[in-house]
Amino acid sequence: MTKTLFETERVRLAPPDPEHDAEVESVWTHDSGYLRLLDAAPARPLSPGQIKKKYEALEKERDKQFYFAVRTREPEGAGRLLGFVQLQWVDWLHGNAELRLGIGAPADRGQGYGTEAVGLILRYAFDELGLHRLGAVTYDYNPGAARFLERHGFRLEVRMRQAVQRDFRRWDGLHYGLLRPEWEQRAAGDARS
Amino acid sequence: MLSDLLRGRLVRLAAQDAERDAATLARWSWDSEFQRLIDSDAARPQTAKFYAADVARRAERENGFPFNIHTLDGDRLIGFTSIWVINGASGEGRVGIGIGERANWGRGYGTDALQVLLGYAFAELNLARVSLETFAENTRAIRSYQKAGFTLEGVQREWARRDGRRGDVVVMSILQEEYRHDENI
Amino acid sequence: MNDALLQGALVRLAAPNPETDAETIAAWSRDSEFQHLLETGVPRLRTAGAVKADIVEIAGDDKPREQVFPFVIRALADDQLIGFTDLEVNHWSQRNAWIGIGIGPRAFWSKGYGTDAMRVLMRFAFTELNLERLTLNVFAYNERALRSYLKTGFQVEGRQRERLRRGSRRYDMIFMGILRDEWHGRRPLTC
Repeated sequence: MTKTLFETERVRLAPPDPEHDAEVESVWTHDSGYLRLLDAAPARPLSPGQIKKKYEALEKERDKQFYFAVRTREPEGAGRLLGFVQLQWVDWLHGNAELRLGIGAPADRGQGYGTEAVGLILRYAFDELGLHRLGAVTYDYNPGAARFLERHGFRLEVRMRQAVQRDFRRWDGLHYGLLRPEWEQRAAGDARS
Repeated sequence: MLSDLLRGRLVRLAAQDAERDAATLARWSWDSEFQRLIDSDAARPQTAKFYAADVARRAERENGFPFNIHTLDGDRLIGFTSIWVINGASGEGRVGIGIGERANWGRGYGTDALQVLLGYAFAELNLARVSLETFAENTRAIRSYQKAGFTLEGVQREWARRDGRRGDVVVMSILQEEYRHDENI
Repeated sequence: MNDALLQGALVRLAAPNPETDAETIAAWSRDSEFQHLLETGVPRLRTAGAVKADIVEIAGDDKPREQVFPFVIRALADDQLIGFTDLEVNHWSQRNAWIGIGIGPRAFWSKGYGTDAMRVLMRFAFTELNLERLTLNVFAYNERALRSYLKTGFQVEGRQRERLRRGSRRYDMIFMGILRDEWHGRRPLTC
């Protein structure tokens, strides 16, 4: 039985819809917590216009990165925007990419949407793109992200000591990695169970 | 750790939107007293088109963080404030602020917006020092800045010329340690 | 106050000059081992013109990039151009930077030139840019560089497993970092 690449029971991956998604994403960026959990860049809120420009820039980089909106899967209509999942810095020569994922509204986190989305993107990265490994970065002020990555088979590979500064102290950067054989073993295990 | 950085008691800071805000910014520029207080350039009203381009251009600058000021009550756009990292290696920032309409002056919005901006400057941009310049005659603003924790640092004598006279510009600053002390962090 | 901020015992760091440096740097690209030690990308033979354009883009006067600090490495003895090094600050707010370094001609490998250049760069990073930490990565098979970085005080912080494919084999990418306090602790008092 072949699962579809872009859908699970509750979520689907889709291209961003600038007309509708930019407003929603703009609201997320005004929650500094959302941006701070996501990466080390200064948390900068964006207008819908700036988000649209970002989507356009992503389109231009189609060969180096893969960006998907994560939406609820509905019987009719496009579904509600939950977040995004992205493979960036795709290094075709060495078969490596970086995974990024975010669920925008706090109320939508912890509902299992991230788990379903990450399952789809891992299959896409390893099966479809034939990559050998994926990396993912988080920070030690975000234990939820570390636990999430570990639950999906990623292993902590690098601890960048005191890499970032927020709220008047320094925090470690945590680099995780998942290799294709590890993912295949887990996927085979899931299929059997 | 994740307390909302951009929200104060009276206002919140938000992204500027070149298209959406241009008309409001243009309208404020017609108030010449506002224009004269905001900076030393010769006061001139501008079109919405000018502001659309101006806002868009500022948004591109990596070391600049421009924000709109919205009231929490009613979510009204009442002004703008920004912080520029003028020396990354030294951790030095410069702020500016403007509340557009007189009806919103003297109501604590400016002080609150500045306090939010300072939280961002010190807890997110990790600056060591934040400074600003304002006209010596702008006593209302100076009081507001002092309430937000700024100290008068120096006077640039006879900097600007208006109405046939030269006026002083004052420089004010706040250091990270002072901010943390004031906020008990 | 240190007057010779960019000068070490064997080398000095200098601004890249597109007019004079491009040919030398392009010649190094013909050494495929050099390329394999330095780059993850596909080894390419580079023309002097292409290198010159790169230098202009990275180091050009007309559009200086605040957050990138590129240098060439020159031997003090005869001012020969022997390598390049750079510091990249992704975000000033994080107060850390990535370091890259390469010594071109084999005659200058394993003779302390790279280590000396790294020491000069570190002093610049910690005393002039006031950074809190420096980061670099090194291919697991580049034992010469790994030894040099350990000598200057970098600590291994982990490895990205099987990050690089060379031929039919896969290699790890080692990550290293040094904190400001660690660098301070190592400095001779007369620095």
